[in-house]
Amino acid sequence: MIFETIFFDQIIDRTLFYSPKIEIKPAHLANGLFRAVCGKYADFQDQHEAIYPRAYPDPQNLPSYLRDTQNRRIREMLYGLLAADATVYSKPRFSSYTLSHVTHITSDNHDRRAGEWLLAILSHGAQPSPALAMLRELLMENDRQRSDELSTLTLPLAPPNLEALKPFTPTMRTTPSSLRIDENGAFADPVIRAIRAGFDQLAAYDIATARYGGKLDILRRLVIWSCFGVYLHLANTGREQLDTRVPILFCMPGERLPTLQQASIQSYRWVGRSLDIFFRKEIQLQVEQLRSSRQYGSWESDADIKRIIESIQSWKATSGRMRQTTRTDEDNVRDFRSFYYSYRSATASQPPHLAFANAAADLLDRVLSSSPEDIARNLGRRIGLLGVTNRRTHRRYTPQPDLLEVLVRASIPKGELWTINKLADHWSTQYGILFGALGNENEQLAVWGISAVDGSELRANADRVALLLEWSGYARRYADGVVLVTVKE
Amino acid sequence: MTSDSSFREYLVDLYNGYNSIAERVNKTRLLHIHVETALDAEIQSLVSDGNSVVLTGNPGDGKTHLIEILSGQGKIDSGYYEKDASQKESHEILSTWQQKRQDRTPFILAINHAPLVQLANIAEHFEDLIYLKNVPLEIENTIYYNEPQKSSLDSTVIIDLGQRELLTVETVGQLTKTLSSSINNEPCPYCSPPNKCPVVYNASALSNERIVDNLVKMLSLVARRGFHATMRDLTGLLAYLLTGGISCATRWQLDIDDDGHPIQPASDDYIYYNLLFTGRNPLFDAIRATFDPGQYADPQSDFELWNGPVNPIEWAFSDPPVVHPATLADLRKLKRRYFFEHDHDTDALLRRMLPTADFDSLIEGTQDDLSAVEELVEMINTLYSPQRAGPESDRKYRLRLWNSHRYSVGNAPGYMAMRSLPTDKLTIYRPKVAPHLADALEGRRDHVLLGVRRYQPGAPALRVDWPMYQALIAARTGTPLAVQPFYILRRLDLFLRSLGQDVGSTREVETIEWSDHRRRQQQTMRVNRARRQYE
Repeated sequence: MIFETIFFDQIIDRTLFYSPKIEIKPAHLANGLFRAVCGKYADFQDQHEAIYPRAYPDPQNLPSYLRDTQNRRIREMLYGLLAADATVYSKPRFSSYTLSHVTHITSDNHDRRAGEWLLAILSHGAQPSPALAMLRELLMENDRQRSDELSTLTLPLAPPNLEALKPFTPTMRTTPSSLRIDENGAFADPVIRAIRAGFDQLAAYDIATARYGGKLDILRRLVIWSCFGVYLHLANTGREQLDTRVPILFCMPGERLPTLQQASIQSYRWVGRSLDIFFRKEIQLQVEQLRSSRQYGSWESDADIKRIIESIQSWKATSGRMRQTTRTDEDNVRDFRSFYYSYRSATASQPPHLAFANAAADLLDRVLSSSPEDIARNLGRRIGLLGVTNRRTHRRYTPQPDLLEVLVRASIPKGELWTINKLADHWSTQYGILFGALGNENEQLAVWGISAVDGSELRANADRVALLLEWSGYARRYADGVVLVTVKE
Repeated sequence: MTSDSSFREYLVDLYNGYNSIAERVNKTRLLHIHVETALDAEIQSLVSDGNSVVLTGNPGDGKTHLIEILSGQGKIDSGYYEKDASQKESHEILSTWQQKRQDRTPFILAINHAPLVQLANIAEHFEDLIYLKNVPLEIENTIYYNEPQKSSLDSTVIIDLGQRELLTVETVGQLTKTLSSSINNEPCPYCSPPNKCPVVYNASALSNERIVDNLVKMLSLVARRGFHATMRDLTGLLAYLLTGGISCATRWQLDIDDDGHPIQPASDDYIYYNLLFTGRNPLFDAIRATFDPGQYADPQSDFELWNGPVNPIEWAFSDPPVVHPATLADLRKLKRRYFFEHDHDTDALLRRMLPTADFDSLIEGTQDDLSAVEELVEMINTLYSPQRAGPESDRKYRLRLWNSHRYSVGNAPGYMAMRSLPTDKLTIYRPKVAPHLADALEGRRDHVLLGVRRYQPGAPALRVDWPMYQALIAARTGTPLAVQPFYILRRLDLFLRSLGQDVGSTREVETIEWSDHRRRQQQTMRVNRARRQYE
């Protein structure tokens, strides 16, 4: 028995499909999404050597212009631009560039299939999302059309024909439960529907500017939205009712708002709780299946469980590191037993198979390179959703202007003018986002056991959101307190 | 209570807000704070010609006030008027309007901006008023930059009082005159020596042409920095400058300081030039944020005030006498008094104290527009690419479309530019009031547009207002891009992106500039697309 395969990978295959067990940065996700969208990747070694002067100080196949030692500065410039997201390493297949063209796409699998999962969302239905065609067009511009600085700068570094690109083979064989379709042919999960609607809405605005210098902005917005979509999905995996959303309570930067800050921290903690509920439930199902199939014999007594734990040949499915690099197999066995017996104790008194499932869920975080909660947190931080603090349990939602811009563009239909209250209502029902403009925030938070926020703090917070939108050119505030939001094209 | 003291009470309430709501004040009092302008006659004329008139703007802009005054004078009797539509449901207003339209009765409406926009959103449900859906556009068209826009409203005129500049010689002058003249010089029953009645002093100061002129100059600075003063702000300000927001009956009572100690109010505290910096309303805040002559140095006048000869003839009032200050705090108060009451060239003094001459010249158009565009283009390029440019640099003549890219949040890794626009494709546009209202409204002059030639609404343009100009000046003097306010970078970014359609398509040989703004270095690369090589 391989612990990670049975109690994580197999569950992921049938549920989420993307695998939150290693840190995913936005550039990783961009690389994975663009690879899935284009169906190709490049892994161009010569290009990689040219833009990575520290790893390849004296590369063989560099264009003569760059071989001149005086032009090392140029190579450093290329590195500065294409490694801006700090995801470039010594080999192209382990690197994800700050990319803008199909020739920048690599086989780096750090996105852990999130790109493929997003592609399935984009391509669902009789009419695929317009974002899909737009992305393909932008990423596969030919040499004459390359409209952004990054892809033009790297043009001499790539082979002249696109045949040098390698085909990408999708791995999604069956539809995972996260992408289940209902009887109407729509995604059953409203969160997935909201993610898809956001893509469609973003594309509606961007199609017009795509060819006129707007390419990099468009790619960035779609990637931020993709990352937000993954975060939103992870955050809501454990909710019990499909029509509810785990709250995301914004706490805008500025003068301290203590009760809001506390509630925002509590709302973020629900992400970890939600993921824990999800994996615990799925591991229990997995154990049930193993038990009924009797694949590992009986699961009915402590002795049976002890035997099963001892039958674990390996904890990791691959050679990837465990969360703590110093951890040994003995540590895992010891902890597994301890967890198991704590669930079997007089106070918990769970049956052996359930105690096993719960112990396995507890151990998951110690075996994986990064826990799903870590993945969500770091992704949220890197797209400017979560603030930076020294204490990871004290994170709160402090959205950055770039993210707010994407949320607005993904929400308001073309040509419409919304009051900020209408926008707040849309964000609340679609994404669980609360920021103080609704007036019923405390009622919504109470459902999740989150402490109440002082009314004046909620109002001040809504005002800060409005101000930020105003500064970003998306809102206009009237002196009678009404804020109208629109996307000017 | 004498009629004089009841007027003082009225002024105290005017500052505190109660009397600044038009519905609460009787029409005689309302006339005290009414400044008759060409707008009054314009509205009368529009209504007599059978037009409906919508007075919109922010709360306090004077919409209801105007209707009260004009209806009181019988000048809009041929129409049906709604003095405060902001308090009514949109459906109710539109139903009445539709009926009046069918009766061919002009409809006169005072309504705040936001409810008006909401009203326009549902106008399509009223057969005769469908055209009102164009109201939001029409509000924008009160001001134009290149060519005035044709009205799409049928027999209806929108007057946006939010675009009216009130901090002018005409309005401030008339208002100070009306309010000051109502305070007679009879001794105040509550202010006996040694406490002279400050209201009397302030009223006589605000009747002085030189002082009012200097007050307008200061308020113009505030307006030029983008602050929109409503009529309520302005009347509140003047009422406070006269009374200090307190009646003389309680003025001299002991007060308690922050430490709980009793303090005796001083006459100085209630003199208009000190009151100007202690009042509470958005206009006072804007004044404090813009200019306090007590806080800005001017070596020439400061030295004279500190230790030089005092010539009483040069001062508007000899009482209280001008004495050399003993402390810096005294100097600050004297500098304020000097600004308003001393006979000097105020424009020259302001130029010495505040380095805003270039911005003023941009707004006024005293410099030729091509030079102004070149200067702005150079400043924008310098903001993104701050290293020193050589004499052969075309930074002044081509606006680069700077761009940066990364997927995670964080500082930009540098800025790239592959496209640029020659300066002669850009020009400066100054805001103008739409022709049909040009004689009735004095528009605000707090910004210019740097826009493409043949500009139409929605075309690429950068609004160069005081914050933007300040940021560009700061960049030119070495302020790093990383510490520029977010909203400035955002506005510049939107402008540069919007120019994408104006710079043409791809070229066979592309020149790409990369600015490492943190190290103040720039690299340039040329890429030949056809040969797929660097040059």
